[in-house]
Amino acid sequence: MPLTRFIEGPAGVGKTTYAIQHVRDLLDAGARGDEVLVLVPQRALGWPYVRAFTDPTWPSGTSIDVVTLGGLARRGLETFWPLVAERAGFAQPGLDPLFLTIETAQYFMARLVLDAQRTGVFDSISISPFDIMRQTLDNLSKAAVSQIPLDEVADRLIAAWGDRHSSRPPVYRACLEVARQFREHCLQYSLLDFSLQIEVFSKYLLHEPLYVRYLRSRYRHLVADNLDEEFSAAGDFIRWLLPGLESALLLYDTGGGLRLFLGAAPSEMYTLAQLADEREQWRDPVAASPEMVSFAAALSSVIAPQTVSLAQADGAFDRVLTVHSARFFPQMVDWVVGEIAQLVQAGVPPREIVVVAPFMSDSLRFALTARLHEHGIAAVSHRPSRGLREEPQARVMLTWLALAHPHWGIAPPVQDVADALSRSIAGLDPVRAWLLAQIVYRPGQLDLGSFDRIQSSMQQRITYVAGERYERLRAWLNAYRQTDSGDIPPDHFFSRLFGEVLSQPEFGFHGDAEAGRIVAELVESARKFRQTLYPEGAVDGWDDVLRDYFTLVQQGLLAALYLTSWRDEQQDAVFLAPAYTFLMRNRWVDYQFWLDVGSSTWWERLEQPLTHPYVLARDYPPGQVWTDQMEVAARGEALHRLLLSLVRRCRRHIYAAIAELGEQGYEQRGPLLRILQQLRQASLEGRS
Amino acid sequence: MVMLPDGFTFNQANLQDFVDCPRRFQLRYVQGQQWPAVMAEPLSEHEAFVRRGAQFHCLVERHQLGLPVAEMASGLSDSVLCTWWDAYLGFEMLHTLPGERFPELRLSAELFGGRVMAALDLVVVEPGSRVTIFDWKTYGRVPRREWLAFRLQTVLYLYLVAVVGPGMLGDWLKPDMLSMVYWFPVEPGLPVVFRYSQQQQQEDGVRLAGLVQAVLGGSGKDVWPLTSETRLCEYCQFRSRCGRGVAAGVFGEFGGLDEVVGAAGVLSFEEVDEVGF
Repeated sequence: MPLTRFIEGPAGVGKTTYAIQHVRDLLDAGARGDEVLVLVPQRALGWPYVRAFTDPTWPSGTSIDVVTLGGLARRGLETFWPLVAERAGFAQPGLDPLFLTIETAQYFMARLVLDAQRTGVFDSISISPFDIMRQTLDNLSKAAVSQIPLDEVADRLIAAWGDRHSSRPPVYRACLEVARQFREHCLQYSLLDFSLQIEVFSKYLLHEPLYVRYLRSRYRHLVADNLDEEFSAAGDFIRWLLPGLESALLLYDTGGGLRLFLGAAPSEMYTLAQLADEREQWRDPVAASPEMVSFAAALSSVIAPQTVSLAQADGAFDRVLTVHSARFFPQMVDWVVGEIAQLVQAGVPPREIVVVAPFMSDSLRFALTARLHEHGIAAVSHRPSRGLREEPQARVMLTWLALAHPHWGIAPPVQDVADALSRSIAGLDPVRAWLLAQIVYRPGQLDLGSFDRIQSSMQQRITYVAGERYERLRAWLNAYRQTDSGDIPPDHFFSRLFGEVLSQPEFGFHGDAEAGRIVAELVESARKFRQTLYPEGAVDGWDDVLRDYFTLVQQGLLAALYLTSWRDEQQDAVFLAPAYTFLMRNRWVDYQFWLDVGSSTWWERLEQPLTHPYVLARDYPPGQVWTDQMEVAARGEALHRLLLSLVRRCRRHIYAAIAELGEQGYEQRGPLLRILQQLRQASLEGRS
Repeated sequence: MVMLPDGFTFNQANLQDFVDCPRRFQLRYVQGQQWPAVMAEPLSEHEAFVRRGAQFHCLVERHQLGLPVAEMASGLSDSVLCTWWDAYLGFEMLHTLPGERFPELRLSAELFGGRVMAALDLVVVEPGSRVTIFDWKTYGRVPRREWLAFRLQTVLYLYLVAVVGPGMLGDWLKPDMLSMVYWFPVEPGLPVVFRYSQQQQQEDGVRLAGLVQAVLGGSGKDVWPLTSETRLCEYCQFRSRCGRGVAAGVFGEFGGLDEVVGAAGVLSFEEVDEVGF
């Protein structure tokens, strides 16, 4: 057996820093880089390792693998596919695997969901097709990472629902049926979504002698970080790998488990400690101030008094916490922006400031970004699953796509055409663009009108320069319609329109990096759509595919931005994000702003009627009803974990902002507000 | 002094970008600009070329890892790929070469203040005797030897193995025991072989140091120089960004386009997909 060490401790005690040094020591002692496997639960959590391993001062040699279980599975399946395809039930084992992202999985799922929805089976719950897709995929993933049979998913959900309302069980069964159809489709065409990757990897590849030999001869040392965020399947893999290793370092963040709602199994992962030769508990934070440690203890004393008494929290937290109450939501935003402006003025780099909320609505994101910009402060935001169609540049591309295919009978509103003109043609302001759109565009007509045919007085108002540019754009669309219409896939259409017109000098996207980024996302989305659904090309031309893509994006079913670029987060800018998203970046900052702490959403689970993170965990007893008491307890624990995790990633000061009337205008008294009030009261009593 | 992004490593593709056009390097790597214009037309042919190349690399890797040949060949429906695969199976020089095989070997090293990385298709090590680097080139035709010799891939791969190799394989490895073989399935009988030497290593070191230092010393604000060889712009996605033309170049009329396109063969950490959050 290898020397296995299990180190546990809260965030900020230096576990990852230690692990990086441990890898360096292994290399210094003669290990090769490619003999070391660094396993992390999520890509973002691997960045400290990647940064260290790519630092110029890092020892030369073979590269070290920093992977997630999903990444490892994918690499293995890609290479060793011929050995497992047939046994795993793929109908065409000669067909190489196509790995689906969340988005490309939705392409297939969309059709199945829309078909199911048409039968009325989901009518008893209020849910969008997009959410049905996401939660069905979620159920597949949870079954795979917990290694429970797919059929058991509906049984568990139905049992947990108990006798609350009889309409729900058929919905669970319908959701499972969609999942089954999706799985059959994947097996038919060698498509692997995340769940199937994990399942084929665990059930087949890890039992394939050639792969086992390859993996065991390759890796001699394991570093598994943030085990608290890992899935059960990762725990199984570690148990399987351990016996052949020379050393293993297992790191566990006490108070972690934030990804529980995605299927993480912190308590099960904790049992890996039993396999360790050495166990250590680290307690002393490296970066946090004593006041911040006191704040963490004070929060625990209120939320989980059985773990910490208020006496242990010495009241010093007052110095690192500011609570501000405003009557209305906009006033709260004003206060937050004002405090940030003062900090920046005092020399705090914007990237040392984060603004978190349980959910970051578009209006909140916009309000904060705009107000910060007024103060000359840059801000970057990240919302998972933001639809591409919400980006103005993407809407421009979609408008031109529709106008390039008038035979579809889809007539964009005049306002959309005006907006597309204004954004496409440099120097054409919205007022002139509106005039031009009203003259040259008639919804339902086949062609855009010519600038040359409009009255000269109007030409003068719009300007001849803008007119000439408009004519170039129109000529491109006409040429496309005459030669290429329906002959090229959607990604090619977007690439050409962008490269040949919109990004050329004198057009709106020229030199616009943000437009480049958004259109690149759109092209990538369309390319994946086409390559996934039509890997061999379209049989009867691309017209139907173009139209399908357009329709699904318009319906909000496709094309979501899931990951913000690391480059965005590297900027010296204030980071605006949902609290969980910020935490999964594993970043430490000097200042945190907690928004809208009166809102009850701080302790609410995401509304997911078709799935359940606790019930689908491996260690949840099948047949057990999920009671209201269990829900309350789970929410309390989740809030505790969330708050501790936030506090432990803050070095200097936390600002808690309250809006007495929330974003929707209702009075707010959520649990986080009550916790802070209790702390304040205790602090005042302590002083008197 | 330029600020390169966290986790940035130099590789043959981005160094070649810098040599071809410093401005392209600046836009692509320093500023991280995405610019989704067409690089070569017909786009579908270009895509098929890239896809087929990736499939071929995957097949060879499987073979080198010991997967049974029959199972791999059974799934091939692409006649071009079948021809390439047959050619590969007949590549005697490779199959008769003794030694330990390292397919898809990734090396990284500190080089003149930067981090350099290379993903080698195959390295065959005959301990105490020689080390051979193989690189599969799925070009439509075999380029001139001089052109290959000057490419950063040749320079960097040999240099990196010469520098990293002794620590990894043993002190016996000297530069003159190293060689690099470019093999072209379209001309299987005409591999291009480069043998290494101490002197070549010194010359390559000077060239690479100059490049890395030129990048690291680049301005963080100014626009870096645009290439004077405007033909390259026809195959560059930033063509419109720089105001250097509208239409993309014709695929197949430019040798080595796969490298112009970027380091498609290097799977970076960021590119591995996973469950979303």
